[in-house]
Amino acid sequence: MDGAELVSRAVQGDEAAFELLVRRHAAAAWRLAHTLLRDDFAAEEAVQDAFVKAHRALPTFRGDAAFSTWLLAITRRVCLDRLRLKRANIVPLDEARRVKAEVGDAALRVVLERAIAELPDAEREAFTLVDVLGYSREDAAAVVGVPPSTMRSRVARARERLAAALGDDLRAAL
Amino acid sequence: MSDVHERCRDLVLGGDSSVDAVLAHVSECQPCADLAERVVVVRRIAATLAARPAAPDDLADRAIASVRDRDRDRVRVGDALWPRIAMAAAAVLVLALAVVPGGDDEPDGAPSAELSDGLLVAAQRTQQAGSARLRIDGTTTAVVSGERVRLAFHGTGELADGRLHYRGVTDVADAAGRPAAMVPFEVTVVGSDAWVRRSDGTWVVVDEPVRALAPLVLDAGSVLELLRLPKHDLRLVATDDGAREVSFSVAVARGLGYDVTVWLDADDLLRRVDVRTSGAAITTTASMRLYGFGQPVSIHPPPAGDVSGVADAATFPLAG
Repeated sequence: MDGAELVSRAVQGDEAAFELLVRRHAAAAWRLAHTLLRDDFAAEEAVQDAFVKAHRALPTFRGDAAFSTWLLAITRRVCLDRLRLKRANIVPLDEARRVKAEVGDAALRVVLERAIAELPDAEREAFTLVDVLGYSREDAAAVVGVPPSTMRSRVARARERLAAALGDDLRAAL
Repeated sequence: MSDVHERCRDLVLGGDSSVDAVLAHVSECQPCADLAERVVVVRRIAATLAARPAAPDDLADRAIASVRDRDRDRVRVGDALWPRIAMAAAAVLVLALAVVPGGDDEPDGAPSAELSDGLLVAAQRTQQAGSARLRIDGTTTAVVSGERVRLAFHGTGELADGRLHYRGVTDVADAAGRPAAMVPFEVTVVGSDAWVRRSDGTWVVVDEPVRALAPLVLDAGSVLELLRLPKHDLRLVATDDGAREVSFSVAVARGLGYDVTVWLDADDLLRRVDVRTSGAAITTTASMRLYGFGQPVSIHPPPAGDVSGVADAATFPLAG
């Protein structure tokens, strides 16, 4: 059964079809949730919440966007709600302390994660969707609900900030 | 040279660094070459961040179990409660679209002629588009059967030629945030008449005050038309992709108003309206996004045989 038929059946109330959709899209939802929340437990809860909300909202799904995009938009909203509640815990301080003790890409990953966490919300989200999770600008724009041109400018600003913030570490890596 | 430099910088940061002009410029401009190299490394490292850790093996099973559990525990909304919740959702929908000027308070400042003219052009352009699809997400607090509840609503619809159709879902939670119910709802507005669909599939006519606001719902441009009135505190922010963001406040009564932010795209079309109540005992936030301008839509009143009554205005839950 192809994706479109599966979605169509799920929208009409076919629970087995919805469960197949869950199995197909759970990993993608997890990647987004974990990247945004940076916590295994919180990401798992967010994915479960996202599927519960998606299940409730299925009657409103009109197919204007792909099901995967629609689901990721729901997952994103769930994660943002959780981040608002736990804003103070986004940047673990011990990561910064580890940086100087590590070398190579592993160290850069730590530095980059910290720098990403310090980006303005919209830029962090855009960078995460496009450069971390690998979505096209158009798909990322659909998930966030902004024009592709806005997504492009947000990603560009994020890259510029990150390239500047990681200047010394990157020079060592080049 | 500086134009080339800026263009190169824009393309590099935008991820278009394989463009011939960029390659040519980078070969002779050390700052751009450095930037291009740093962006490449940032993107290479970023791409490795998503790979860890992998999703738990039983994540899908647990998500499915979660869906089943929460549906089983869901409170069924009784016929007596449903119209009030549906009314609240419908009212919030209307408020999300309609900004009502007037009242005693006058916020400081007035829109500049340039800003008002620009907004008027946007209003006209949006109206000329003829139709649009819309998505609305929001939350509000309402009093239902004497209890304060939190409503989170989301859904999609379309509007055209003085008509609106919107279908969504409202999640109802108690004051502590515990889920209490889920209410699908559907609203149709034609001219000054509005209907809400009941859970049994029949429709009820929406009475005042929702219907009184209905004319303001009917076209997106009417929201911006209201900005011509000199009672708004306006702020214009140019965004770097050529779009514009306009924020303003509207007072509807002493101590009660709305903070509104409007986004216009480079073609002067209304793209997004965010509304937040200010100074009220309850808080309502709603975000409406418009897209799919000019596409054919078909919106009709519900069949007369399916309309079974009139919603009771006395139970309108947003007044307090």
